[in-house]
Amino acid sequence: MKLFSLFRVELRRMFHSKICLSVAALSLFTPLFGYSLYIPSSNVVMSGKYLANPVLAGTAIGAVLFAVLAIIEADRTYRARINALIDSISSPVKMAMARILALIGFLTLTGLVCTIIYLPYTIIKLDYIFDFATYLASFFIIMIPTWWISTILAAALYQITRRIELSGLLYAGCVYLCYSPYFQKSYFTRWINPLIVTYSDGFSNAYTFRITLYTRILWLAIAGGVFVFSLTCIRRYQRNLIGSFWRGIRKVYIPIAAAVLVVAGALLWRGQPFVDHGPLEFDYNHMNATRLSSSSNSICYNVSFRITAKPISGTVHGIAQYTISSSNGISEDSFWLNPGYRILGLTYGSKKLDFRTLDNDVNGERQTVFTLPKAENQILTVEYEGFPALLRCFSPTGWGVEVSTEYVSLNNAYSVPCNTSFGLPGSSWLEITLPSKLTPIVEHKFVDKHTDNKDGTRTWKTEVQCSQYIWITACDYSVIPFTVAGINVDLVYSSKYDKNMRSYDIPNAIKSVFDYCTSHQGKIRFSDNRRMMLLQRNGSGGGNASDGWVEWDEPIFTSVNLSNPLKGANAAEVFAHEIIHEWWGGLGVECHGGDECWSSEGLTVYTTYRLMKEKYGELYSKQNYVDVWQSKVDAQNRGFYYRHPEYLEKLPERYQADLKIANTDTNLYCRMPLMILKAEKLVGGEEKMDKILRTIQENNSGNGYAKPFTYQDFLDACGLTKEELELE
Amino acid sequence: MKIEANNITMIYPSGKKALQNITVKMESPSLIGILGPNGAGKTTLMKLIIAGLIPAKGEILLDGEPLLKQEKRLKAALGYLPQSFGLYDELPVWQFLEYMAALKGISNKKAIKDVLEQTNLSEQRKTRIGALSGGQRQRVGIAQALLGNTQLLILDEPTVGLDPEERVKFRNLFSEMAQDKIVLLSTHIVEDVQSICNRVLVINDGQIMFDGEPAALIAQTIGHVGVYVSQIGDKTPDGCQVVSKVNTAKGIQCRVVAKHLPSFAEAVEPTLEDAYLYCIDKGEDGR
Repeated sequence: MKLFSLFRVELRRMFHSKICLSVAALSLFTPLFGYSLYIPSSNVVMSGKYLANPVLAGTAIGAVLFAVLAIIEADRTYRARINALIDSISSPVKMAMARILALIGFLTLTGLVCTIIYLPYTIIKLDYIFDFATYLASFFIIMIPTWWISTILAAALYQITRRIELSGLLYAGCVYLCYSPYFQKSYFTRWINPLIVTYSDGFSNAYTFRITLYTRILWLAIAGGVFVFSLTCIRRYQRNLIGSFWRGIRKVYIPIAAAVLVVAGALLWRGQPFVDHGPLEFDYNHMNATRLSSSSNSICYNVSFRITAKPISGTVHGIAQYTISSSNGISEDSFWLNPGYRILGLTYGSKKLDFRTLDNDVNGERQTVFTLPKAENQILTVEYEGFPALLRCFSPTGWGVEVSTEYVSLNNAYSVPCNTSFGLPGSSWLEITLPSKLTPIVEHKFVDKHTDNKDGTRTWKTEVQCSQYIWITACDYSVIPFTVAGINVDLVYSSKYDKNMRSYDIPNAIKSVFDYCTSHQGKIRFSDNRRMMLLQRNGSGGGNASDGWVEWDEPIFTSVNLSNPLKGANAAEVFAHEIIHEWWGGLGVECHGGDECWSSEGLTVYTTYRLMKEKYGELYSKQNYVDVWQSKVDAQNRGFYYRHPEYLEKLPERYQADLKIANTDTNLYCRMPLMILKAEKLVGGEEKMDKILRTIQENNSGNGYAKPFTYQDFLDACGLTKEELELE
Repeated sequence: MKIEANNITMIYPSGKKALQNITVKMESPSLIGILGPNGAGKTTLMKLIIAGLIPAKGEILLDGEPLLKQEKRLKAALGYLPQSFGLYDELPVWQFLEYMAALKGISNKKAIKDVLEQTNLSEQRKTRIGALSGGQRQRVGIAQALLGNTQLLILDEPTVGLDPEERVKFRNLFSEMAQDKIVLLSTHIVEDVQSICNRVLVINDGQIMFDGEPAALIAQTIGHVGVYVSQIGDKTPDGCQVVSKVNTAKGIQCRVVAKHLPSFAEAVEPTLEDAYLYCIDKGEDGR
């Protein structure tokens, strides 16, 4: 009761304080920085430009302002000797608690005012995209809790140091860490500037809010722990830090509470369900090894998967059933599944099996090991449930995992255990239960059959190939079918983009890319008798392509992107690039020693450059393509670790991974296009090169999409040697 | 309420010995005046009693129990005005007192109204503290100390900055309050002590030089206070401390205290101020 009345009077006092009111007023302006100066999230998405960035700017700058306020307010009671009165009649610990609670109350009210102030402008700018729940979540999950964390931390640092400049310096150090390269790429290290790569206009932001809420709770626990610990350091009896601390810890419940909070934060960090604990780089060796080998003594005849998306909790429940004959009864079998899922049980026939889930996360998978008793044609049932985790090596991009009422994306989540030691038959049945308004796409194909469960969900059933991961996505999709270059194409996108797709005439823009590639480089290398799907997905601005499908991230089709004349070529480039992949295969990487990787990316980038050269002229294509490639290759050649790779191993894992990824990207997207450009000159110009590429297409048309041609194939077609194409 | 400080020694981290082996007992009702020169240890003794300091040696008991184990009870019963203090300048007087009342766990608005009347601040209740004069701020400090049903009122230089009329008024107020509680009053103004305190503590250099009724302090000074007339340029006799000098037609009339008065000095009735100075002087001679 006394604490509440202290909170009440302290809060009232703040509303009389000029400095408190000034900080509150300043913090109301901080979102303005997000409209132009502070752009941590993709500004191409409408809700990113008019909601995410203003909120993130308000979050970070406001957090600093309130931290400064917390330090000044705490210091003021000592500097102005107000504590001489207060400490005599109230416990300094209780007073510190009341003061921080009042400050939290004060900034929460400020946040509420901020939420109201920016509402009308956001509604006007976002128009039909505006979603009130997303708006509220932005302020109440991202901004206000971050202000809490910052204020609590700053107050704690002051209580420990009792010096305004020292606590300010320590606080600045904590802020700097969040912006340092090492911390910047993790969702969990950024306490003041939550990592939000992009918002979504057409799909869902549930994943973003879930992970941000989780990290806010995590950091609140840690900051709270530090604060509670700092209560033991409050100066009393005119003693110094150590003297006060020894008195402070005599109230044992204080250090115990601090430890509980910090440990809770650490456990939340360790047990976070959002990102796997695998290596920072995608492990191609693991993928090949586990996909191609089947050393089991068990034989699987039949398999079916049933998964249910639970949008409220964001989790997935799954049941996999394999009909297996086990001839051994001794050796171990295993399957791999997303590390976010917990195995609820394994049964073989009617027998419950013991199993071990290993701590060997890699590429977004984790292995579960068990031994099948010797038996014929028994059903192995695996039941699992959990929050699908993102691949750590892809985690800053954020795409690939989402389970919400508006969107389900399990593209990176390995949500069905089809990577097994015993090998699976060619095809299997997949049943997926989803909210009724969502239409699923499995392996880039629409699913025809469904049953209505009369509970707001539908169960869809389809046959899937088990040789690869099963890609599942579901949304309220719109489809525009059209035919180009003899191919039936389905342009599939979130129905929220209906207006954009038609007003910017996207189908015609796509057709122009098809026409260019067909006329210059021959008929597409694409399995006959199938429809091609061009699919929009939730993501930060790239794309992906494989046999018969192209995926584009959402920002490519936003109004901000499509209506910006300066960025017009870039937007066109990305979706043209992904379409052109249909001619040159997917990312079939074949490395030839060192870091120099050859893949179809080189030809795809080169063709994109040629298309842009035709559309926008030589100067544009030189400045935006050739010069960019050259400068990046030059920078790579100058790089210390590129020239001395032996020192790379000495760097921390995160830096190593960054440099390796940067090197690979430069090789794929810059070095190889430059080499192809050199080849173009050596073979006698663009027309000659087009002819060679057409020949390559024609000669390889029967090979199917999965077999990209090698570097040697290319050199042979050009009549050149490897040495001739080496860059100076 | 009963407070006992037994064999208290207080040494600050700087090494300064503020109090040396002090023993003092206080019991309600009483109004105790503490007298002593600057740096004598008066404020230190007060801070020890309000549990603002922990003694290096000795113990302080509140109703027979160690004070540090009774901090909560002590704070609930305490009204304290420090010698030097700050106020929330942005708050109006009423809200500041409401703030302090909340700290003391008082929800009764009448208590605030009463202390405003007692300290003559009713008219300024809506005035921001930052706009008050020095004397008015001092009264706000006294008002917050008087808030609630305090059993122990500790006032360190409470009448500093007050005009003579206010000083008299507050002296009387403290006297009234002491009827059912312990009031500990530290001051340099001997007159304040003389007029209201039933007990006086004289502290010098960390030690208690006298603890008793003011009359007893005066009594022990009889025969040690005298007056004589001197001329300009005359030296003060050895062993004498001049209390006052008044210019008269005959010369300068000097009032002195001394262990042994000079033969030409005429012994007079001592005042409390004479007694205090004699007490301090005697203590210093003894060292």
